[in-house]
Amino acid sequence: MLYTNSSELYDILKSVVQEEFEGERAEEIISLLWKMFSEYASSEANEKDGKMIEKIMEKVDEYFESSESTDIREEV
Amino acid sequence: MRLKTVEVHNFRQYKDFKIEFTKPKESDCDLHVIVGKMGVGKTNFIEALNWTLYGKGLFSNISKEDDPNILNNNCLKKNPNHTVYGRLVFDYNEKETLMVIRGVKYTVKDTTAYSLSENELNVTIGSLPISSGIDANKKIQEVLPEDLREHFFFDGEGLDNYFKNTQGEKTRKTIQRMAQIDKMEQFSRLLNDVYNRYFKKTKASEKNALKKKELENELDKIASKLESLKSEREILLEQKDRTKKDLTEVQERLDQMKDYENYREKIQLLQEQIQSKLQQKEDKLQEKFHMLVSDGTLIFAWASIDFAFRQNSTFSKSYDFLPQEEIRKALESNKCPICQKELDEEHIKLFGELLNAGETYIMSQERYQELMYNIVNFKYREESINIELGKIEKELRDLEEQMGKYQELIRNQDINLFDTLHEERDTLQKALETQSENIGITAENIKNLEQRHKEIEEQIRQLICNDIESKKNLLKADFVKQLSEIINNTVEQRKAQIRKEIERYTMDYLDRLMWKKELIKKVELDEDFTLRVYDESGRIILDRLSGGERSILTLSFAMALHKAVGVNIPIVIDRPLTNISGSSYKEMLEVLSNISKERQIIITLTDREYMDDTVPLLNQKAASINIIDLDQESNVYLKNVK
Repeated sequence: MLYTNSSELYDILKSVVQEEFEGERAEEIISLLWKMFSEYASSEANEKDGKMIEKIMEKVDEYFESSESTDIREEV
Repeated sequence: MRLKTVEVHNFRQYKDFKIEFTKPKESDCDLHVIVGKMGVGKTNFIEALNWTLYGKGLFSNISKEDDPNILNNNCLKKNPNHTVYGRLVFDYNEKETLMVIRGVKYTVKDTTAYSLSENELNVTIGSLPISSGIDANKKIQEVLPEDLREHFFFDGEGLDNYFKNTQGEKTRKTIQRMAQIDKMEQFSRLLNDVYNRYFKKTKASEKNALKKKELENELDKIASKLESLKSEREILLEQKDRTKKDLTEVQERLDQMKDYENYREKIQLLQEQIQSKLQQKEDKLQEKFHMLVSDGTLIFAWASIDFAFRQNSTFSKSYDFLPQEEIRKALESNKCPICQKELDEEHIKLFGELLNAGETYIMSQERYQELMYNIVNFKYREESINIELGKIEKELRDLEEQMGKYQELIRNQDINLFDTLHEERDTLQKALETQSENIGITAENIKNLEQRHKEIEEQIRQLICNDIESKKNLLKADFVKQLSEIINNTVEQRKAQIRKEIERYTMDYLDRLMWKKELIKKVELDEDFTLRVYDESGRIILDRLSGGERSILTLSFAMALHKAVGVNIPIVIDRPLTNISGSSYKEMLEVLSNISKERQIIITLTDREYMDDTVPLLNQKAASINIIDLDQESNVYLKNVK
C-alpha cells in the first residue's frame, strides 16, 4: 500500500463492512474492497477512469462467480 | 526517517558543499543547528533541500527546477557549461537509506544562464536505483509529500502566524491527501460509474427497450448535470469558506482599530464641549465689555465732572454740586455762592457737612454713595468676570489638549485603511449572503435532481426483464452501490477519527512542550479543520498567545498532524528564534531539543542568536552545530563543526 498509516483506514473499513455483512461474507467483501481500493490508489492517473472501471468489474464478476454457490445464487 | 547527508553543487552560494547530520549514539536529541551571519545563505540551504526534493523553492521564487536564478554567480563568469546538483541521503528505515539526486544543466552566454533542458531526478533505496523521472517524483511524494511540506519546512518568521487565514483549508487538503481520503472519495465515485455500467447492462423486453434507452439517456443527462452541480457547490463552498476567512480577518483588523472609533467619538464630544466653552467665553467677554463701557463711562464722567469743577465754575452750581474751594471761600467770605446771602446757621451746617464728606461735594450724598457702590461693584464684577474667564480658558486649554492627544492617536491610525476595511467588510458580508443563497439554491437543485434520478432509476427497474443475466447485473449494480456507501461511511469516520487524533496529539505535545502549562486547556478542530484554542474559562485565546507560545502551538499541531496521518519526517525550521524575545531563546531551544528526542530537527540561527546565553545549552543538547561562512568568492563553506 502507500506510505501512510493505512491500517487505520483499513480498520475503519473493516468495521463499516462488518456492520453491513456477517461472517465469511464480511471477510470476503473486506478483502475485495481493499484489493480494489489499493489497486486504484496505486494506479497511474491515466488508468484511473476507463481501465479501472473494467478492472473493478472484472473483480466484481469474479467475486460473484466464486460466490454463486452460496448466497448470491439463492438471491438470483 | 531522518536526513543524513546533504550535498549541494552550484546552487546559489553553495558551490561545493557537504554537510552531515549525524546523531551521536550517546545523545538522545537529534537537533542540528546551522549558524551563520545574516546574508550568508542559511535560507538558501533550506531552498536547496526543497529544490532537490521538489524542483522548486519554498520561501523564494524558484518556480521550476531549471530556473536560471539558482545557478551560482561564479559560474556566470567562467566556463559555459555547468550543472546544479543536489544529493540528499535519508535513513529510510533501520537498514536502508533513501537517496534523492537532482541535477540540471545550464549553459552561460554573456553572463546569462540558459537551461539545456537536461534535467535529471533519481531516487535510490538501499543500493537499488528504484526510479528516475516521474517514478522518482512519485516516490518522493510518497515519502516526503509536497502537500505536507508547509508542515515540516518552516520559516521562523511565520511560525507564530501559522493559524491565520487558510490554516483550515490547508490542513483539510493535506489530510485528504495524506490519509488517502481523497483517493477513497475518488474511488467511491468510480464505484458509482461501475454501478451505472452494471445497471445499463440489464435488459428490457423488446417492447420496452426503446423506453429504457430513453430513460437511461435522461439518467445520463441528470448524472452529468448532478456532477457539474456538485462541482459548482464545491467551488461555492470554497468561495464561501474563503469569504468567511477574509471577513474574519477584516473583522479582526477592525477590532484592532476599534480604538480609532472611540477616538473619533471622543474628539467629536470634545469638539462639542470646546464649542460650548467658546460660547461661554464670548458671553463673558460681552458682559465684560458692556460693563466696561457702562461703568467706565460713569467713572469717566465722574472724573470729568470732578475735573471740570476743579478747573472752572462754569457749571451751574447748586447746593448739591458745589466745589470744595467755593465752600471754603463761602465760609471765609461768609457769603453763599448760590443765593448770594450772608451765611446763616443752615448754610454753615450744610457747608460743614459737605466739607466733611470729602470729595462728595459735587453731588448729593445719596448719589455719591450710589456712584461709589457702582465703582466698587464694577471692580468686583470685573474681577469676578476675569476669574470666570480664566476658569473658562483653563477648561478650554484642557479640552484642546485632550483633543490634541486624541488627534495625535488618530493620526497614528490609517484613516483610509479604516474606511477601506469598513467598505471591505460590507462587501464581504454581501458576498457571503449571496454565496449562501447560491449554495442553498444549488443544494436544492441537487436534491431535486437526485430525487428525479431515483424516480427514473425506479422506472427503469420496472422495465428490466426477469432473465438471469439481467437479474445478475442488477444484483451486481446494487452490490457495487452498497460498496460505494461503505467507502463513503469509511471516509466520514476516518475524517472524524483524524480530527480527534489531531486534537489529542496536539494537546499531548502542548502538555510536554509549552512552558506555561495551564495556558491552553483545550484545542478543537472544527468541521473544516480550523484549529480553535481555549483557556480554562472556555475563551478562544489564539490571538492572546505570545509569539513564542504560538510557535510552540504550530510545532505541536504540525507534529500531531504528522502522527495522525502516519508520517515520520524531519522538521526543518529557518530561524525559529526570529519572533521570540531574547529572554525566551533558551525555552524555545529546550522545546526544540525535546521534540528532537522523537523527531529529527534541523534549525538555522544567526550569529547573534548563537551567543553566551544559548551556546552552553546548544553545546549540551544539539547533536551537531555547524557554523557556515562565505569564502573570498562568496561561496558558503563549513567553518566549524561541533
